[in-house]
Amino acid sequence: MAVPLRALHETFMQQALAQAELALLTGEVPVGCVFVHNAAVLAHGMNDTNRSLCGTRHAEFIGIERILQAHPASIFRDTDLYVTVEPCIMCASALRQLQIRTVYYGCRNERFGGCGGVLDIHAEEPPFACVGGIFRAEAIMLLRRFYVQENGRAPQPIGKKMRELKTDILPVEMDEADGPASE
Amino acid sequence: MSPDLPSGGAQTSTTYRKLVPLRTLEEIKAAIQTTDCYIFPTSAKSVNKVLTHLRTSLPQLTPLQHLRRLVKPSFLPPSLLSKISAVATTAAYKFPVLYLLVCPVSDISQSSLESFLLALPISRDSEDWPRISTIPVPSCQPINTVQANEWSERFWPTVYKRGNPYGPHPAIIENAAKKLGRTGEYMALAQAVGLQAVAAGVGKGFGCVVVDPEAGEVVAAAGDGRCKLNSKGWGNPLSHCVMRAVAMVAQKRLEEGVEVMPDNPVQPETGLERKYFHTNPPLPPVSAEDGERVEGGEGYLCHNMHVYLSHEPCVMCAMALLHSRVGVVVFGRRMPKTGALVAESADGNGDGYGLFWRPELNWKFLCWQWVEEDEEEEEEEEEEEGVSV
Repeated sequence: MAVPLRALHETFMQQALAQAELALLTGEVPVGCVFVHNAAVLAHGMNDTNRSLCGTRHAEFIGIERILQAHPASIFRDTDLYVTVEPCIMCASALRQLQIRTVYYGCRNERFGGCGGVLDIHAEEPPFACVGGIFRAEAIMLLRRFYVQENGRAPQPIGKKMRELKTDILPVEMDEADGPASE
Repeated sequence: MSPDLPSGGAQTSTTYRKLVPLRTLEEIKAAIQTTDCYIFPTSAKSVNKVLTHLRTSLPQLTPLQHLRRLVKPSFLPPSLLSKISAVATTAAYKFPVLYLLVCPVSDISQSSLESFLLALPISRDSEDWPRISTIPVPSCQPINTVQANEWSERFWPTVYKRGNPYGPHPAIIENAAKKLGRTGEYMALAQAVGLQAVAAGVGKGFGCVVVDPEAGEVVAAAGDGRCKLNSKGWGNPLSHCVMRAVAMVAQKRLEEGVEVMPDNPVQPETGLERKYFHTNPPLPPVSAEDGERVEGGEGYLCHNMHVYLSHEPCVMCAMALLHSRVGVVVFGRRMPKTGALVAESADGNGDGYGLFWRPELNWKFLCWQWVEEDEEEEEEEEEEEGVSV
């Protein structure tokens, strides 16, 4: 392959980030992903829980269903996922059941992460490989931009006018253990 | 409305079943953890002085709040009494003897404790006083009186002080269980909708029923759908009954023409699925006033609903229920290889996920297994070895 590996990873993660940006514009929690097979994007996905009124419509599931329209599930064994936030426990289990090859993610998911953030679903038999930290700061900033917005749909909207968008990103502590892919 | 039971449903008049609450992972871990502690016998006459000196001179010693500090020999477990030898029982002492539980061995060395006690300005009960022994005691507080009694008979008199730091409070479980009177009906429906999926050739025999506990109405019933082939000739291995049921609930709340899953439209496949999917009128759409959605954008569409499952769900489905903020889950058969709700393994250790009640996660629900009255641990052969529900 002529393209250097690192540049390739970054290209795909940038596409995942673009999906997350799109999610943010449509009022969804900004998480995006792309599935990559033979160095080509098979499908992209972005979080869709608010529009669908369904808490399971995470970016990964959107992408998976698009792929299954054109390919049988066996394709996942040779497919990698690039996702801006570590897959949650539900998605990690789904990806494991599909035998995804490798998951590359941006930032950790401390609340629901299934690839080390909270549980180690990725390490169950058969395990899949996980590499974290690719464009981590960008992934975190997208989430922060979402959470400083006012949520008009909340039962009692919390005034967030006073909230400021923090831009400092603390250095990684745990993420480094996952792999060398950070900046 | 009452779910119609197909003839030959699994619930026959001769089978008695009951709800057994699942233990949380923390409860299991707490139940098997012990700490070594010092104890020694002392006469009832001097015991108060000893205690006062211990408290004032060695304040760093941590007493265990859930264990009795002073115990008469007759209240000690016989197995323990035989271990610490009969010399220290009443006969050798002028006054009645009490056993004093000092502290965990990590707090102080036995020799330091012994020299401290020997230096006390009190009359000694016997030549060989203080005869310190080290015994294992439960490290964590008990979660109910039954457990406290068990521990009292096995380790050391234990006190249950209401509350349960490791899981739902016993009273919460008790009150919630009172509202599960129709479990038999709903479980029969969950099994029936699973069997219909098999008959229709779309899935394995796993079923899920979502009930609105306020109205007592079935909101959705879904069987497994992983064998349903698309026009190209392949299926979706993630079409488990829980994922389908959760999507059906959302679909019923959306306006007509809007799809929960545009790339994989929610579609009832069998008679029972259709019956509850096409309930008229559809569910009211969730509005801001419902208070079911908070910032963060998670859909809380099954907020506090009750879910009945023929089998224990896999990690994906258990987490889907958690993301959907359900209130109660009752399931039939355990799935030791793939199930994610049971926290204990066959040997009683906490090797399972126990996903219904994990302090790390921001939602918890109550969970029961629906088991045959006389065989609580029915582990029939797992018909589909390793298949995730």
